[in-house]
Amino acid sequence: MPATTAAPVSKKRTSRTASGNDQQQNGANNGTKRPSTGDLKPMSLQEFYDLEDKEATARSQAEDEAQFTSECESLKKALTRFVDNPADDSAEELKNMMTLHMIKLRRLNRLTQFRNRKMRDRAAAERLRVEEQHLQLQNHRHEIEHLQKEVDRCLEFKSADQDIPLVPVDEFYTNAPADISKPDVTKSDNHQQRLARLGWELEERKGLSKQLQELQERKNLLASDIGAKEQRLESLKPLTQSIMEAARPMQEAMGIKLDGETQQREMAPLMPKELYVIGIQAQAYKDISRDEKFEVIFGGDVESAKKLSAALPTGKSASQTPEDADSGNEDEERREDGAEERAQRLSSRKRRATVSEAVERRRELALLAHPLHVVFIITCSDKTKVTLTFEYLSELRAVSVKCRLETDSAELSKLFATSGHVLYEETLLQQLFPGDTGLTCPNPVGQAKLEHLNIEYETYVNRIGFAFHWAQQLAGIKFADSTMTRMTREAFDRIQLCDLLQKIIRRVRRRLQTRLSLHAQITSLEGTKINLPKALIGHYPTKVLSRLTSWKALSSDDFKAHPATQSLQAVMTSDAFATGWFFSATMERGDAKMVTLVHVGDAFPDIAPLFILLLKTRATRTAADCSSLKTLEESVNCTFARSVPKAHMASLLCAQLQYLTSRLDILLEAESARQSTKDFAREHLFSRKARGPDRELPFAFQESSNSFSFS
Amino acid sequence: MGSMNALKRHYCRLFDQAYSPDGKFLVVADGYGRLTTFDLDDCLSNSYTDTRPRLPAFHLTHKNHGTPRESKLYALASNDNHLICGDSHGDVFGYSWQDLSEQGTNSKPSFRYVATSCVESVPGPYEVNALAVSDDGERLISGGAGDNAVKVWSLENGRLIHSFTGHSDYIHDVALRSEHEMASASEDGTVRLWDTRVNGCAHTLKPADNQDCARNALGSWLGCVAVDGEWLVCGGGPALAIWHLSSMSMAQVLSTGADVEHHAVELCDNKILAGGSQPRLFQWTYRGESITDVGCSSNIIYDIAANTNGRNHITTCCGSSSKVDVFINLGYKSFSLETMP
Repeated sequence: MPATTAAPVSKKRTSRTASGNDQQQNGANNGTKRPSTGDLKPMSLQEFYDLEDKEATARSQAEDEAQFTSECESLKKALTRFVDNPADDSAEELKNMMTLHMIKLRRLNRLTQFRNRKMRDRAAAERLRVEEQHLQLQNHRHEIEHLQKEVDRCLEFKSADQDIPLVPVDEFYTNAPADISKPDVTKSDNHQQRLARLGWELEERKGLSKQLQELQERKNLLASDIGAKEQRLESLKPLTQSIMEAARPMQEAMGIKLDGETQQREMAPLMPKELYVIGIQAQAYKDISRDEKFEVIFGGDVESAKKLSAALPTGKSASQTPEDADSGNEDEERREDGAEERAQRLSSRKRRATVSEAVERRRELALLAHPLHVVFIITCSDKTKVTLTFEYLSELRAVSVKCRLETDSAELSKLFATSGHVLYEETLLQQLFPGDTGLTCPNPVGQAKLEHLNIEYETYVNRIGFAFHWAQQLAGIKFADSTMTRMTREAFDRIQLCDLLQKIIRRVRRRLQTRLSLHAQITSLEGTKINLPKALIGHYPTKVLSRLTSWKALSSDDFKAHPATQSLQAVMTSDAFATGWFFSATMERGDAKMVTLVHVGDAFPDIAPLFILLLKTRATRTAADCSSLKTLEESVNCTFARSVPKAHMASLLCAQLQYLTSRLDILLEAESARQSTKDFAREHLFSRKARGPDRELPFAFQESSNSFSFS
Repeated sequence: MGSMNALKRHYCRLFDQAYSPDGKFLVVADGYGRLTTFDLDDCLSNSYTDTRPRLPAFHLTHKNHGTPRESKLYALASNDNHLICGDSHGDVFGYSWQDLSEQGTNSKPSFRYVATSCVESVPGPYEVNALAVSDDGERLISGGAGDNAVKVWSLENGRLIHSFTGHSDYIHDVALRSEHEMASASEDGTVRLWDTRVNGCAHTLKPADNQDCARNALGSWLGCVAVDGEWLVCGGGPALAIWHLSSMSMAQVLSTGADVEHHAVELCDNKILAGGSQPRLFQWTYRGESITDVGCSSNIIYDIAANTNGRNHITTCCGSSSKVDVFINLGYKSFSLETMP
């Protein structure tokens, strides 16, 4: 704006005269017609525009405004006059005047527009400049910030030297030679002091590492020396052996029997006392009972046992060492940690990396067995031998037992190794005493250790053997608070320690015998034949019309998921059903079909096989909804075993099945007699069809009269 | 042998119940020959929750005078002085209530009758299935197998007063009507009414002959009977029904499930309580209108008993499980007593 306001007044006047003409010219230009004007020389359009632009820049806003007001005023006046006295002037004159005024106004407007645009352009140019400068400013600011940060980083820089634990200042001045410590300079200058201390540290460490190297070299030298000596000793061994061999004929000639006993004498001091107790008892038993079919052998790696006992400080038991060594290390680490906070953080990181390895190592250690062991070889029949290997788990402080079956019969040896079979080695010793599964560590301390390390004994049982309670008892280990169940404890309370070994051997023999018998029974049942010992046949009616038509093995899950077992869920939760063998048997007579689910437990026949009955006649019934079936199921499961003579208990499974087939006859015949139907003809003698409030059927067989009545 | 205990619990059957004269004890007889006693004052106290089970006060296994045979206990009855039990070998023996409360599990029977007689054609053992005590508490009525007789004993001197024979199969249940009259329900399908004044059978009912009651598929046997004045309720194979004694006609069939066999019926407070081979306790009015049926622990109910003595007014029922269900109010089962914890 300042440029326009500065326009000279004189020029204004001249331009006004000119503008009057121009206006006319302009109006004609803009109009549709082009009237010719004689007194003015014509202008080119470009010239006109230039003039117009010039004039517009020359004029000011205020001037234009004043002219606009005066024009409007005169226009208003003329119009008023015309309205008041329309006759005064001729309409033509008025029209001319009006046109003139309008042209003037229009020109003013145009000029203003032009000026406006001009101003806007200028404003835009200004803004552009300002923005450029602003951007520049911003850049500078960023640069400043960046530099500031750099400065800060430099200020905060910490060198590795700060992490080095240094010798304390006082010690430094007393120990370091003057050419390093330079007390005159360093006492006043902290930086110099630090440099000096670092220098001293370097000297010191160099010296120490050199010393370490020297010592290591010496150690290697000694080790190789020892190795050479050991080798020499080793080379002596065959020589001594050959001397012993050579001496043997002479010893024999002189009647000295040393072999087994020397071996034993050599091992005895190395052996954990628990195993030693077992071995001594076994030998005493062998001497007293003169049991030719029982042998006891001391075995294992004598050398590593020697090493182990040599590594132990006297008076400490084997079980303590590995753990103690471990905890000792930890203590040292901890002491170092105390030095400086930073150092601690570093070392803890290091330790974390090895934690999983350490846990793994400790697990292995926990399950480690002592290198020596005691072996029992129990010969059961001419063909089969049971080998029991007793090992001592030093860390768990418990005795474990591994069982192996050996036989001359090829067929049996195949069965012994077949997992899941009744003759499978793993299950042979199960529940030798009630509830004794050997699947947990019997020592509560050991058990707690396992829990701490998150190990379940059960999963390692194949590797380290079963920790049966009877093995602990035999080893004379008494736990203040054993993991034994009440039932097992009661069983052991009844047995004197001196009888225990004899009982165990007898039970192992009996177990193998019953298992062989069970195997024979199952094989015959698979051919749907119920084989009974002659002595038992008399306990059943001669005529049995129901027949076993199928016998097949079931999986434990199939057994438990079977609808007939649902009502027995409360019973099935017992541990006895976790193991054992499951079968399904079908018995038929005419249209009736009885499906029987059978569970044979590990402890067969001490615990009778369990039968679950499902009878399909017209309807399907189970013991839950049929009182007669419930009675039959109860007697086969609970009371029947008592009626079998002890000598024939091994044949219990077949006896139970024979019982069921013969009683199925009675059930069907009595029911059809009650309902007066002729579905099942009465082939057996029974005088009463029911007894008592529950209308019990006559399931008790009277051998003397070959009839059925009640117990 | 933990699993053996669980099995025995699973197969347990409770056959009869009796209350002590002071209403303090409930005694339950089971198939293992045991008498299980509950102290009701204790069981009904508020100190019990679901997690704290109500335990029996004591068990008593009947030794049967030293003979080793195992018998099942089928019947119980009680008077002011004695608890009377009947077993599967035909013995009736009494324990004095005083002994029971003082000596508990060591109590010895104070008397014993041989309540069934031997019959040539049927081999034993013969059981006692039902016992009842007259209102004055001086006579005992027993019913059982063998000669299938209803016998009336004097509890004062142990003498057999009457022996009514006539049933062709064993007796399931007996019920007293008055001082002279009693009813017996039998496996042979008849209910007989006996009268000591005529010294014989006064009437015979055979529900299986009645079209509305007969259920041929289930047989004609009658498992339970109860009498109150003119009305008699009986059932078993045939449907449970109310009979009018003066006219000897069937008044109303009490409908339960189609194939429910009836083992227990009880009349009290003008209501009919019944149970059978269904885990439900049914309740009707004398007009045969059903009031409620409530779920029970046992699949088959063998006995229902109401305690009217003392202050513990409850109804209990037991059957083919080891649990006795207790109803304080007959609308729902209040709780169960476990006889084999």
